[in-house]
Formats: sequence, structure tokens, C-alpha cells
Amino acid sequence: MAAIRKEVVVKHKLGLHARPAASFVKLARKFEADVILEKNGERVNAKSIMGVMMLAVARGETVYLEAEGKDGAKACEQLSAFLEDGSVA
Amino acid sequence: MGKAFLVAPRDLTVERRAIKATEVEAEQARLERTLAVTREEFAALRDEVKKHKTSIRAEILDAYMLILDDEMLTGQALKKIAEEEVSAEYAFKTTLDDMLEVFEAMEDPYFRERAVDFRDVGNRVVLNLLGVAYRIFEDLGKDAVLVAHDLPPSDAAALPRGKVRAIVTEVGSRTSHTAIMAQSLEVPAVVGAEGVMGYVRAGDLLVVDGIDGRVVVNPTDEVAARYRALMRELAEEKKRRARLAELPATTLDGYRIELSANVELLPELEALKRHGCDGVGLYRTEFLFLHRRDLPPEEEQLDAYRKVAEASLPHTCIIRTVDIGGDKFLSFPEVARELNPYLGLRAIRFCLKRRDIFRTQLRAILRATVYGKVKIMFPMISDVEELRAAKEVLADVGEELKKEGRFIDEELEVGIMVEVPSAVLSADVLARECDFFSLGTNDLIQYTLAADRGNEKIAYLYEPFHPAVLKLIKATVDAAHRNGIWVGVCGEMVADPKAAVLLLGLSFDEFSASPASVPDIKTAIRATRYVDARRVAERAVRMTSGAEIRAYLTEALADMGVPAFLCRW
Repeated sequence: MAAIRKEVVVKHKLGLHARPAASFVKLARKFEADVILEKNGERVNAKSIMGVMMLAVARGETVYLEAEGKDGAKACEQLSAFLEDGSVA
Repeated sequence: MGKAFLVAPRDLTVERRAIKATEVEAEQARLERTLAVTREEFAALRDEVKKHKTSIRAEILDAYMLILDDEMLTGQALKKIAEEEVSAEYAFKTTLDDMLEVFEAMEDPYFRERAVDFRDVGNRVVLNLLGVAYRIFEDLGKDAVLVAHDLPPSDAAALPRGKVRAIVTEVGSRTSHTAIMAQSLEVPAVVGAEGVMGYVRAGDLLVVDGIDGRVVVNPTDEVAARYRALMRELAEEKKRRARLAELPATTLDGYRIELSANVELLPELEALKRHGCDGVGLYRTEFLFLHRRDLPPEEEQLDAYRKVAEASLPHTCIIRTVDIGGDKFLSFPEVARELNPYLGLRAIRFCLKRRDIFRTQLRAILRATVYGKVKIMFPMISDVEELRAAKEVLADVGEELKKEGRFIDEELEVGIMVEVPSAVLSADVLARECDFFSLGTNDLIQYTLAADRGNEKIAYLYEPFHPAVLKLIKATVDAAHRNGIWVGVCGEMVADPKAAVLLLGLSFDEFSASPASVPDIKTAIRATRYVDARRVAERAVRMTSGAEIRAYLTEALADMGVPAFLCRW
């Protein structure tokens, strides 16, 4: 199965600071698919809090989500919706 | 104030310990088991913390627990055990250290501080692997002041409540978790006190002054007595303010005035309840538009307006459409410099010219009406045609939204800022075509007296108590009430209790001031009888100079027994 790739502009309030990053990682872990988060060519496991925080994603930045696995499409969709949700504090 | 309790820094140098190839699997299993045990410990800690309702700390712990089953960290540590044939603690510690180096090199101080937190959680794992007991607060006496190089969240979260009187750390900033946790524990803290552990011995008497960011070691009797008195005063004042926040702004003889808050930035909303404000009387939307090269999109504005509307509940919030121009400009090249910006393309004039910007804002405000009790207000109306034009755009935008199938509040009250003398002089006409007035004292004073309040050379001319100003204020209230609409006042002037009593006597229905000044205004109102304020106001408006009015008001307030400490002007 081919990986699904999606470009996302982060609108989430704090980018991926500790608490939102934790929520993001928890969400990613709900899926079976392997999910990669990429920024400026750096790729990390989206299910790893260390990895996600290492990218220091800020609001307004562009990142890529890549999911591979049977629920990959769903993972991509829900995770990008999370990042694009500007209404969450 | 309390006795110093030094939290010794735990030096966690883990020696490299080689293992045999046959031990690899057992060592890997030991790491996984220990991670599971540590997760349980943290979960128990988190649940304990949750019981105390300090949810912010529970959330922090929740976030850091995730590193205990982090594929990247655990995966690499397990691999290291196998590849280098080393002990679990060494593999875990060095893997974590490598990762944290990345964080420590980051530019954003927020992420650098998270390295401290991750290290803390990681250390707990290492300690568990080493089998070291981890109960640092067991010998904590009561009235302890914790002095530490750093107080990581897991330590801070384990603090027995009620025993710790203050916290001092050598590192950290206002955004560090130590500072946040001290706040949620409601104890004073001084963070970033470099080298403090070198000056303090266990058992020393410490004064921790969280207001001035000062730590006094073994104070003299005199200093200690001064701080004890200050603590009593603060405790009293805190109690008084908490009681006051629950009480309405009602005069001794039962005249109730709405006392709401002027808000510019969303973080200020947190103060609404604490200071006992009746909602938001003026939300200045300019800050959404400034310091950026683009325009705030509808959704972003909606998000802000929704937050203001929700935070104001059960009271109303008044959103003022953007007041650009004057002293606040957009960072666009096409906005031409004007010779006289205060008399130029400003506020409603700008909006009627840039309908695209205006319509987007009105859409966002109308959409926010479903989240609370929203009212809308147009700034700097100087002519009834302006009000009609603005209302027309509003109605048109409302139709547009309805066609899109969106719910909006049809009963939305529409008001205007009265801050230009021409608006006062045509107040009867304006009052028939809107639902309320809000008098903006700052601009009304400077336009009436032709005195730029930012110009120091003529600062003496800027006199809020000028008889001409008072006449205009009175005319505004009278016109509003004659036409059956309510009238409020927003502006710095209200924050002065002398002015508050005077304006009360002129029969305003609402005051709006910065949240922090609300308690003082409320205190003044609650110490006043409305009939007295009426009498004072009637006399004041007949006087001939600002100086005379000031002197009279000062004396009248003293006679009425309004607390003198409130009069700061």
C-alpha cells in the first residue's frame, strides 16, 4: 500500500508545544498506520512525543504528514484536521 | 516566609556497565518493565494531583508520561542495549541525553525549558532502574521554603499541599513550570535566583517576596516584622477583593450600575471573573489587525470574538469595530501617511472606505453572536449618515449570512461611541437610530479641548474635569435617556473615583474600565449614595473651572466617606 502524503499549514494555537503535542501524539497512536511528520526535510515518528517536539513546530509553519497502513487515509485526515484547527487553545 | 529546605541536586552520572551478550534480552526486559512501573507511578501522581483540581499540573504530567512509552526513545535505548552490550540505565540515559541536546540547542526558550522537564521524567526512570528511593519531601517540616537549583514538574507535583510556603529556584523564568505551579499552589516564588543555593543553609529563615522578586536570608527583626505586616495586609486585601468580586456595583441606596471591563488582549479575559466585572463593555479589536502584514481572516476574528463572548457570560460583551487610524496604523504600504491622523481617515471612516475589511469583521462579529450575548458598537460616529451607512452594511452582511444558512442573533443591539463633539450635539438624532451610547472620554476630551493628550507640552490643557467636557457628558446622558436608550462610559477617566462618583451622579447606566481598576471603582460606588452623587454632580456641572471642580470633588468624596486611598489623581 502506498503512503499517503499531505501538506498542512499549522493553525493550532501553540504550534506543537508540550500539551498540544501530547494530544497530537495520543491521536496518532490511535491508528495502526505508521505516521511520519516532516518539517524542513526532517522526518520524525508522529507517535513519538520526543520526535514531534524536536521539530519545534510553530503556528503558521508548513509540515507534511505521511501515513502508511490500512487506516492511513483516516489518520492523515484526522491529524491534519487537528493541526488545522485554530480554535483549540 | 519560612525555613529553608534545600533540595539537593541529584547528580545522575551513570557509569557505563558492559553486559554479556546472553544478558541482552533480560536487560531489555528490565528496561521495559521499569518503564511500565514508572508509568504507573506517574499515573498515580497525576490522579492524586487531579483530586486537588489543579488541572494544569495534571495535564503537564499527562504530557510527560508519553515519553515513557515513546517509540523513538525506547526503541533506540533497546537497540543500544543489544548493539553495544551495555546496561539498561546506561543505554536509556545516554539515548535520552543525545535527544535532549537537540532541545537544549533550540532557539525558542520554551523548547529549551522542556528539555529540563524531559530530563526529569527520564531521571525518574534511571533512578528506578538503579533502585534508588525517590522520596525527597519526606522530611519536609511545615512552613518550608523550598530552595532548589531547579524544581522539575514531577517534584513540584509531588509537593505536599499546605506545607510549602514559598519556592526559590536558581534557574527558570516566568514561563517555566516552576512559576506556573507556584501560581497554581498559590505560593510566592522567585525563579532565576542565580547562585542562591550558595547563600542559604538549611533551616535559615527566608523571606520570599514574589512581588519584587526578592529573597531575604535571615532578615533582621525589623525587616521580618515589616514583611509579616505586609503579608497580613495582602491576605486581608485578597479576602476583601474576593468578596468584592462577588458583589454588584450598587450604591448604598440601591442604584445598580453595570461595571464592565475594557479588553484589548485575550489573556486579559482571565481577569474578568477575578475582578468581578459585569462582562466586557469595550472589546478593542485593533489588536487583531496590528503588527502584521496581512488582514486577520474571518475565522481568526470569529475565534477571538467567540472567546470574548463566552468569557463574558452570563453578562454581555460589546465588540467595537476596528478603530484604525489616529495613533494605530496597519502595516500596509497603501495606507498613506496623513498630516492630521486624529482628524483623518480613522475608525468608522476607514471602515466605510474599506468595505472589504469592514464586511469581514461584521461577518465574524455576527457569527459570534451565537456564542454569547454580543452587542456591536461603531467608533467615532460624527454624523447620522455615517451611522446609517454602517447599519446598512451590517444589515446586508446579516442577510448574506442568513442566505448561507447561518444562525445569527437578530436582536443584536447596535450602539455608537460618542467621542466627537458633533455626535454629542446631534445626540437626539443619533439616539433615535441606535440602541445605546458609549461615551469615549479620552477622545471626547481631546477633541473638545483641541488638546493632543500625547503632547507633553500641552498636557496641562488635557483636563477631564473641564466644565465644557462635563456639559457635553451631561448632554449625552440626557439625550440618551430622553430617547429611551441606555448610555455607558468607557475611558481612563472612570478609573478615578472622583470621576466615578461624578459620572454616577450624572446617571450613567454603565461604566467600562480596565479589569484591574474595576475593584477600586466598585469600592467607590459601594461607598456612595446615589442621591449624594446626584447632588454633587448637579453642583459640579455649574462650576466654572476644572481646578474648582477637582477641589470640590475631592472634598465631597471625603465628606461622603469614600476611602481616600482610592484617590490617586
